[in-house]
Amino acid sequence: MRLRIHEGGIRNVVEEGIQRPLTACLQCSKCGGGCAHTEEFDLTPRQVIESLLDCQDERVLESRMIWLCGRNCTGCQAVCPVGLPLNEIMAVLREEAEKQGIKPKYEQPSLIYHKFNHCAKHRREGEASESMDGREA
Amino acid sequence: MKKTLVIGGGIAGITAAEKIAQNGAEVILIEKENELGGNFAKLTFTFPVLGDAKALLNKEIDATQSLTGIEILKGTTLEKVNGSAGNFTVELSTPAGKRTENVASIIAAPGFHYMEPTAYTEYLYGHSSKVVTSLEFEKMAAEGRLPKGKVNVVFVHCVGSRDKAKGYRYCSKICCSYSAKHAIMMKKTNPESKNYVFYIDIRALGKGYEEFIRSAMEEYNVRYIRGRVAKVLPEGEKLLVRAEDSLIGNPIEVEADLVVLASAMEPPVGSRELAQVLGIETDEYGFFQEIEANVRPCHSTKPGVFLAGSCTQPMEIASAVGMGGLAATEALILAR
Repeated sequence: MRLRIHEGGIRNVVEEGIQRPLTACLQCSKCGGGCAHTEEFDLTPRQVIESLLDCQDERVLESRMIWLCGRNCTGCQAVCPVGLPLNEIMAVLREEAEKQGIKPKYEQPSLIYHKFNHCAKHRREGEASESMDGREA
Repeated sequence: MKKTLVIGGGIAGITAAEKIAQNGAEVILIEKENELGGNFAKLTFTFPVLGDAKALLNKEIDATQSLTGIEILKGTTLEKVNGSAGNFTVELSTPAGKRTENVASIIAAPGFHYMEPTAYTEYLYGHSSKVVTSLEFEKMAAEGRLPKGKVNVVFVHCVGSRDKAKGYRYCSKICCSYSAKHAIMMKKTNPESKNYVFYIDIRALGKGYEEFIRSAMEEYNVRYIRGRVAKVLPEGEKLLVRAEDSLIGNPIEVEADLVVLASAMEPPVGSRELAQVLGIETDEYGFFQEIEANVRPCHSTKPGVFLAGSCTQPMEIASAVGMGGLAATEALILAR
């Protein structure tokens, strides 16, 4: 299916929300490569951004990723070479989805960040949900 | 004819000094280390033709040393500069003590530095002996220490380049080509090895460069995967490299015995201090600022001080040689 590119999507809402243009994304894909939710996600963070730039709003708002990403996990944001606030982007998108009556794909955060929600040490450090050896704790 | 001072005994400085002397003028070449050669001397092979780097460099050094009119001062630094174009008084700190010289112009060619990627803990740099920089890979190759047998070697592009958060915004220009060179060297040295290159874009701009990259893929069976490496994990005795193959949009992992990080080219150590001594400006990164990028690439912001080589921006050997020659012609105008 060929996608029709236009300019009027929720990209503007997101950019306003984070006060930065999404065109900062290099599409280097470092974010998706290190993501802790590989078994569940449908879009990687950089695909969310590219889809927003292409105004594929439905694809983004209907995705599982926006409900998985950025809740007490800063894995992608911590390594993003241009420092895009991916957590904030996902928060804006969740808000937008709720406004449009889209039901959350996950009622509960996944177990990984559920654990981190209740772990004072990780909450304090705000670090990626991983230890030094890079594995999920 | 008046003398010229050349700062830096790398390929740009050597070329500049050689051309000035061949044109019958006098030149003082100072090098802060005890050997000539600079970064070129740390290489085993050149690209895109796998030339013997040591032989090529030594030929240039020998030619320079045999010319009359060149005085080479090793272990020497520039301390002070007074005067203006055509008539500078420079104070040098040599192993034999301080020395003052009168020169018509100065060519600054202090080279570059390979960034130490200590900030990249996600790549286990500094935590695993199996994660090395490209410069260390050159050393391993020169000393015959490349891994043997059935091994996987992963080359990681853009470590410190195109990274506003931990490194530099700019592209270091030569890493795509030298990583391909390293993958080819690895395969030639150890035909049992399997080599992987992770890239964002392949930027190999120069005569024969594209063909060189294609030969790495097609002749040496190097697997190129589009995606910046996200992390390197220990996996028993080996390493696990994780990334996204962004062309299919799927997270992937590769087992590795050696991970080679193509670290950024950055300004030489102490470039801002040297710029201050010379009275010239640097750019936001600390590279020496040219007065005009297109038609005056070797003119610094101060008349009579010329620039050559990778102190101005990341560049390959051929460009550094070209710039050395151009700086020499500018210096000769003032030496007459």
